Amino acid sequence: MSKTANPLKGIVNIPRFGLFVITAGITAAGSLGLPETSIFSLLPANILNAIDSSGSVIASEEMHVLLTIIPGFMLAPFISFFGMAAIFGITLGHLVIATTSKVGAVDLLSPLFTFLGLFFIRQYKSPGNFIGPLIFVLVTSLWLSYVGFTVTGLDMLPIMLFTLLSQAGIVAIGYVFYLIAKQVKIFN
Amino acid sequence: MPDNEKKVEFEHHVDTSELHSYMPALVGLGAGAFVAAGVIFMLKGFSLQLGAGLVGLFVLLIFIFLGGEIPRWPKITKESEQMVKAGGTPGEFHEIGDVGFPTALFILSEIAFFGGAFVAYFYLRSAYAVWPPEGIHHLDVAIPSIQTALLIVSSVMIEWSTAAVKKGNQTAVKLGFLGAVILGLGFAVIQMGYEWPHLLSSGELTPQDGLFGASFFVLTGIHGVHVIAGVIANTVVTIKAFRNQFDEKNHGFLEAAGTYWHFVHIVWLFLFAFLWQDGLSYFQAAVA
Repeated sequence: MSKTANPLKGIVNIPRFGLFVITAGITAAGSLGLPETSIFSLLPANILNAIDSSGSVIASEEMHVLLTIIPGFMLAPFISFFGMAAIFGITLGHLVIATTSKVGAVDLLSPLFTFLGLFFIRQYKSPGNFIGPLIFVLVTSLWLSYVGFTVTGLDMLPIMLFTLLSQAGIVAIGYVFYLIAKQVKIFN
Repeated sequence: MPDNEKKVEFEHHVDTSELHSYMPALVGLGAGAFVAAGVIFMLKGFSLQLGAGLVGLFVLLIFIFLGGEIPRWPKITKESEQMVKAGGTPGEFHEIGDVGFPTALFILSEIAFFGGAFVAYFYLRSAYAVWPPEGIHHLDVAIPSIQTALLIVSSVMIEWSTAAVKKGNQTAVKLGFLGAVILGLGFAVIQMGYEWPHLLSSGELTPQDGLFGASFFVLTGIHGVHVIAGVIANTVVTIKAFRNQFDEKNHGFLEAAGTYWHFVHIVWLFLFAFLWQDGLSYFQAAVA
């Protein structure tokens, strides 16, 4: 039997398995192991008040949970380097985090939107292109906004703005690291 | 002589009939008897005669296996060495495909094993309306966080080594796997040398503390055994690396050991979520 007869060829890609596991590990550990930090504790009070003048969204415990930053999303721009293995890895890492979500079972669907967003980053992976990360932020923010709105029943606009800021902030930090990594050619 | 021709020439000298052994089926039967004993005891209560009979059958089959296999090991080792000299890769069975196939099959069997363990855990857990049950302390996440960091860094080092061996960078192969061995040992020492003794001696959590305590020690225990197995495999790779037995073409065992280590890492993420962070507890009330 020749090598081409391997029935798992293309399904289980051993050389990429490590990358898949490392990205899953970093994504999951970033949230499971580090203290929970939401965008509310990072933004200055005047911006918080400007977005949510009634203070109802800021006071909501569910929104605190939903807007907890996932440090692993800093890896999202690196999809351009790592490809599909990292897409699956970050998605699995997010799934592990979602199992511990205090929002409820609905959060188990969030990794699907993460996968979709990451896929766009891979589609627009030409050098310096930030359309992919931008679509990732939009897709994941829209989903989080929908969940936040459904769970809390509060105003949609401040929820959307907070989720956008939260997702954009973490991806922007990752994008800076991505640009640095590209500059020093660390992954070449 | 080109590598392909060398390999073809080697294949003609291998007695392929030895690859078709009845031993795996025998060991499977023995393991089945052992599992059957456990299941019967759980369902019907402990029976000394039945237990001794099934465990005796298991031990007998293992001895038959060892008696049949051990005499073949020197020959298999010699053939592997010949294969390396001829440009092939031990473990890269020419009859089945490349090293990815047997490794993937092994990993799939491990997925089935841990999958079964997790299913059993959630099945037993479903009897409780609240999880963890009342009276159980919430475990500190600091220790598993450190352990996770050790696993991530060790996986990165293995990945670095795997990439390096394909470029012929021997130093990176040696350092990468040596680092992974040290970090893996660190993981095992933290778990079995610090966390477990601390939990047991303080009485914070013991195997007698209901389903949570029993599940915690069983699941982290079987994972810990896998970590130790991974450390042993990585140690063997490290020793072989220091003897310069891997190069751009011959690194099947290195890649297989690395893949196994990555798998051990990924199982840990689920253990962390399910045991320390009460993963999927939002389904608890619904299924109880």
